[in-house]
Amino acid sequence: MGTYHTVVQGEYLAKIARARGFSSWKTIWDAGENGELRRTRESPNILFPGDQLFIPDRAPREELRPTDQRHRFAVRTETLRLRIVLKGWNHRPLAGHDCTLLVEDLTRDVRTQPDGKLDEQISPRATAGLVIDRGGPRPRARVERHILLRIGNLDPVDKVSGQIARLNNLGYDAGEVPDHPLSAAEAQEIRRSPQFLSAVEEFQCDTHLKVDGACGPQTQAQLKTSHGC
Amino acid sequence: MPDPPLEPTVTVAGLGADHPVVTTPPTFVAPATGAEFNTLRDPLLPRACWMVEDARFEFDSSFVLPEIATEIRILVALRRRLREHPLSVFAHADPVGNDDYNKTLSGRRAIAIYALLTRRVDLWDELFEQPFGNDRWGSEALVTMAETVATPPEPERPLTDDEKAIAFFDEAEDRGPGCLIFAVRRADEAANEAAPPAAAAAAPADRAAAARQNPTARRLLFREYMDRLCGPDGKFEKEEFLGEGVDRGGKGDFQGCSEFNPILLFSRADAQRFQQKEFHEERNEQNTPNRRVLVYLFPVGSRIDVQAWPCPRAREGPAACRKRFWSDADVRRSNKAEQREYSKTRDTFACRFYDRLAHASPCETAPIPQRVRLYDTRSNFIPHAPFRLTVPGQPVREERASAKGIFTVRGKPGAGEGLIEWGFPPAPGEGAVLLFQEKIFLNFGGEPTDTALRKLQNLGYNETGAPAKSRITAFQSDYRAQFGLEVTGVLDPRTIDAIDRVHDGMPDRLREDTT
Repeated sequence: MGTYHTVVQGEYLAKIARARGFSSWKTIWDAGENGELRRTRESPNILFPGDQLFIPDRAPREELRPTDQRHRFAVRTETLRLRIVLKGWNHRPLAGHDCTLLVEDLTRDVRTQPDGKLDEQISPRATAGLVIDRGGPRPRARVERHILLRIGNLDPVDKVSGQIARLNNLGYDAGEVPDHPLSAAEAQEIRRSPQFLSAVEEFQCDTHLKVDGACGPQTQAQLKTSHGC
Repeated sequence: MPDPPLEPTVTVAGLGADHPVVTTPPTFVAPATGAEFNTLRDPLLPRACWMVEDARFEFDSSFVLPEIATEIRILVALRRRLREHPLSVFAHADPVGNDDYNKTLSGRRAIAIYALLTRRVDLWDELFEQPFGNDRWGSEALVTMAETVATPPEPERPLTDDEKAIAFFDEAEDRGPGCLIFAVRRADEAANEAAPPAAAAAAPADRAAAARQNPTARRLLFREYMDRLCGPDGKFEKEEFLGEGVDRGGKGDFQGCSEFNPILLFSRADAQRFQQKEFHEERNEQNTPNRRVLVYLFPVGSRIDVQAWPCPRAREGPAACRKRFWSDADVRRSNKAEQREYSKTRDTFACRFYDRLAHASPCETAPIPQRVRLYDTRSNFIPHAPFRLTVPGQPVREERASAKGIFTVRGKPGAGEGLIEWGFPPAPGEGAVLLFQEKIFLNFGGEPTDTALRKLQNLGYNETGAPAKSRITAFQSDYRAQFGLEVTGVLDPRTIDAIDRVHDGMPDRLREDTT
């Protein structure tokens, strides 16, 4: 039969799946009833508060095996990863930076790859984290900075909140990410505000798009590409 | 952890300040089950700013006047606290003249400041040998330099409390027009007049003449002058700037913003009036706050790609600037019904890139300062006048006015009035004698007649016990010919307008006819 779950802020599919006792989020994502959601959202990790997610009943799974033998059953769980790419203002990757990643009960010392990437497995329960970046090999680059993470709170790119979050991540300082779902009027006010316009126009200028301050489909697509999701 | 931000530091002709410390909000990221990743790129937001006003340059010129030493001390102190924070110089022109002319002029000022800080005498030599428009250093500059290095240096002293913060307004009160004027007019002061100091000794003139002929001697003079202005601690390496000196044209290190980022735009009515030649002097005076040079200090580790740096080189034209204009730049640059100030409306900058650097800068968002000009009994301004300004609730200021006899007043004037004492610059080695003492009004909101009377007080029409009528009559007699006034003792609109024009315009000479 299954039920519908209304997504709240901070939820991503792997987290919901885990909470509902599913070993694989794919079981939920691939359900026929979620076809429309798959089409509009594309990524199971970037859902929006209010999305209706269909959760099928957990069907018992039958495996036939001879009884007079021992069998091993391993639950295959989908792993969840946190992937962050650190870049300088000049778009060059911050390679070889010594960082410490703290997520839930995980504390790990890591070093960014040549492309500036940190790629670590994390718990599907994760909601927050911290990256301590101690800087790179050049002596002048040795400054410690703390990057506080909200994991799973990134909204889709067609929402103003998702646009602000990505512009901020990309260094364009678009303002505060709204902490509540926006009414149409609130969203319009933000879209017209100088800070948001400035960030969008700078991004458009840097990526050689038409500079008009409107974050339409082309700009959104570029945001997604530049940001990574 | 960064130091807590200090109060802004204010000088006669400049400002130095930390940008407000903003707690970085959390970064919103998505976890990955597929190929997703989250790019986090450093924003380039300044950590601190420093500003020097037009008063420290020769008018319409890139020649740096010796009094800039006061402001350089502030920059050096700022940099000493914020080590390894890369610097970048941004120079601005006022909207008079066309974009291209102002791009070149502002570029030359940016070069001049950068060269001063890095001791690049070759860059100063280029400015000297290639005049541009009115920017012609010439012999006068060489004489100024020779005289400056010939006088013994003042002993180094730490910044006093008087040179520290004056708190800024949160709300800009209506202080009326941005300028003030001050003068002494009493007849009995003539007996107290001290002669201005004697002309400089001959030796600097010889040195200046030699420097004019001989490039090596000239560069030596430049270097000595630079060292005198900046002090031994005030020398920066090219690597300390944002572009690290990688680009020969200085991309990332210094740039001129032409007239694209004014902090003050006249009302339409004023702009039209100022087109007439008779108002040009007043226009130039009112435009003074726009002519400024900023240095921003960026966070440690800030790295730019000079090729991708948005600003064109200081010597290039403004084409690349336009790519970074707001899409409504034309509207922003226009003169609207009301006068606009960046501190109030935040919409006067055409360059979006610069706007993003400046919008949290205390140097750029400070209210337009008031300016005071000091005159002698003959109605001439007193260059470098020593003064003492006492305003209740404010630290007492004992300083020297600029070469034009002007100093700026920032921050809350308190009761709106105070005491100003001033005199002539003393001979070298002697202390200043503050001959003149007057009440000074600093607040001009309110009824036009009250404002006019207060301005008359400032202008020196303030005989104790004299009724208002006789003071008005005295002003009308003095300016009768210049403004076509009728000597009635009554504040008619034409008289009020004349008082405004004289008081706010702060002409070099107060009255055309002196009797």
